[in-house]
Formats: sequence, structure tokens, C-alpha cells
Amino acid sequence: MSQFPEPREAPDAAAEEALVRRAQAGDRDAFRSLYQKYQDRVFATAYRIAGDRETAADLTQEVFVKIFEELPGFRFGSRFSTWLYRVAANHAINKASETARHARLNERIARERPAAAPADPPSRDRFAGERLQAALAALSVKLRAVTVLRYLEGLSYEEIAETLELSIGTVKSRLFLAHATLRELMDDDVKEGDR
Amino acid sequence: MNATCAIFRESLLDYVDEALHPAVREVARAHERSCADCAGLVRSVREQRALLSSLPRPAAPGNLGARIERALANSRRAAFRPRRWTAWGAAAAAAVLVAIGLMAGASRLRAPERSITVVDVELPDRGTLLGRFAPSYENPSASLLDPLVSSENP
Repeated sequence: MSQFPEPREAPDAAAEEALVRRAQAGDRDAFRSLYQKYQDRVFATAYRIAGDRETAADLTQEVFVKIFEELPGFRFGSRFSTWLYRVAANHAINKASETARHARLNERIARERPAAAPADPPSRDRFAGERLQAALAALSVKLRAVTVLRYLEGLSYEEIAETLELSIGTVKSRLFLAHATLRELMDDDVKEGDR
Repeated sequence: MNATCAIFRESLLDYVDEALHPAVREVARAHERSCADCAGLVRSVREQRALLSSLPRPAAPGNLGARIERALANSRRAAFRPRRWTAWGAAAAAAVLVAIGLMAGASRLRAPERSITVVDVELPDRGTLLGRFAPSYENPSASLLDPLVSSENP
């Protein structure tokens, strides 16, 4: 079930499979069509999980090189997009973990807190959105990954489970924990902002 | 938080997704009405979902496609590596061409195309130089003429 404002576009599975098969046979234009179709979404996912633009751009390149090199071995056991997401999400999770970005993101939250009397105060919704983005960045990588895939990319629980190679139960429990943590982080933020 | 709260929270996402069986959903709704903590949690989850879903997708750098293209060009290109028999075929064809080249070169070395210029000098009242030093000269051989022959193809 998808009730989010911007659900993922439903790709034409047959047309995409034909494109993938052409790319497997060595058709560079076909592979170019695939990466042009997915590069923005891979970048967005990498950015949300890894936390900065340059890292996300590097990750996006690396993901497509990996896909390009492993494409001949792809046997359509899942949809191409699911495989691509699996590679992208795991790559971003590994990168974010390796670089211990979590600590730096906490510092960024502190920096990004609005001043006591901003010259142009944001609207209530924009302010809430900014606080949520900062809190999202402060989540652990595992919690952030399920949140990004569920709410920003609109994947179903089943798709997230397949992408991250987890059980559906684990996906749901991580997502619940993510909500609880976001709530605490945002409440703390409001209390500190009121001081 | 009591045991009912714990059960409610286990099903919270399905409740918010409206994915619970109608009968179970009614029980959950009754708990939400009676428990301020769980009601607050439901409200928070709904707000977070609405906000997260409305966040704009971060724009990719304008040169991302070019960066991917460059990275692909420098990749191992496993996807487009020629099949083994093709590689062997190409190697065999190259070997044949090299062999033909060598044979052609060798044949040119063995039988160079020559233009022969016989140099002779008129001697005053003594005939010619060749007539004097090679009186039997009628059909000069290459060996006899070697000192006097220039080859255009050394």
C-alpha cells in the first residue's frame, strides 16, 4: 500500500527488462538509458543515507560502475530496480558507517539550529521540515536507511526487506524505532529552541 | 505503558497504514482513544510521515551523467569483454597477418628488384674499358658487374 504524496513511478517492467537485456548484450545506449532513468533516485537515496552531496555523487558513480560490471551475471531473480536499490542502499550504508558520519551529522544539527531571533523566520511547516531533516540525519545509519526507503522513496515493506536483505518484521521494528527516535530528537530540539 | 500499549505499538505501523483487519483496527482505535501516550505516538508518526513524504528530493549535480560516463569508461568493462573464442580468433588472425608480412618482407630481401646500369667508358683508340678488361664480355653476369652496378633497392 502506498499512500504517500509522491509514490515511485511504476516502471514498465517488460520494456525495462528488454532494455536490461540489450545492456547485457553490450548495448551502451541501453545502459545509458538505464542510468539516466535512475541516476537521480540513486543520488537522492545515497544523499539521504550518506549525508553529503559529494559523497552521494561518488557513491552514485560507484553504484553504476558496479551494476555495469555485474550486469552480465544478473539473472532477473528480482526486478532490475530492486537490485539497483540493493546495491545503492548497501553501498551508502557501508560508506556512512565506515566514515563515522554519524558524529559529524550531530555536529551539523547543532550548527543548523536556527538562531534565537532569525531575520526571516521560516514558516511553521518549513521549520518542522528542517527540524525533521536534521533529526533524520542524526538517526543511526540502519534506522535512516529504512526511513529513507519507506517515506522518501516510497518502497513497500516487502521491497525494503528484499533490498536490505532483512525480514519484514525487522524492517517494521526498525521503522518504529526510527519514529520513536525522531520524536525524541524533535522534542529535544523544541525544548532547546525554547530556552 | 502496559501490556496493551506494547501490543498496540507492535501493530502501530500497520494501524497507521490502515492495513489491519477491520476488527483488529477497532480494538486498536479504542486503545488509542483511551491512552494518551499511544495517541500521542500515533499523532507523531502521522506527522512525521506527512513531513518526510513532502521533503523535496535533493537535486543531483548537473554533471552527474558525465561523471558516470567517465567512470564507466575507466571501469573493467566486464560487461563488454569479448568472449574467449573471439579473443582467440582475433589473436590467430593477427598472427596470420604478421606471418604474411614477414614472408613478404623475406621475399623482397631474397630477390630485390634491381635496375642495372652498366657503366662503360670509351678509351681513345682502344675500344671501351669493358672491352679491354673483359674481352669475353657478351652477357655480363651479376657477379662480374657487381663493382659497377648500383642497386636502387639495397
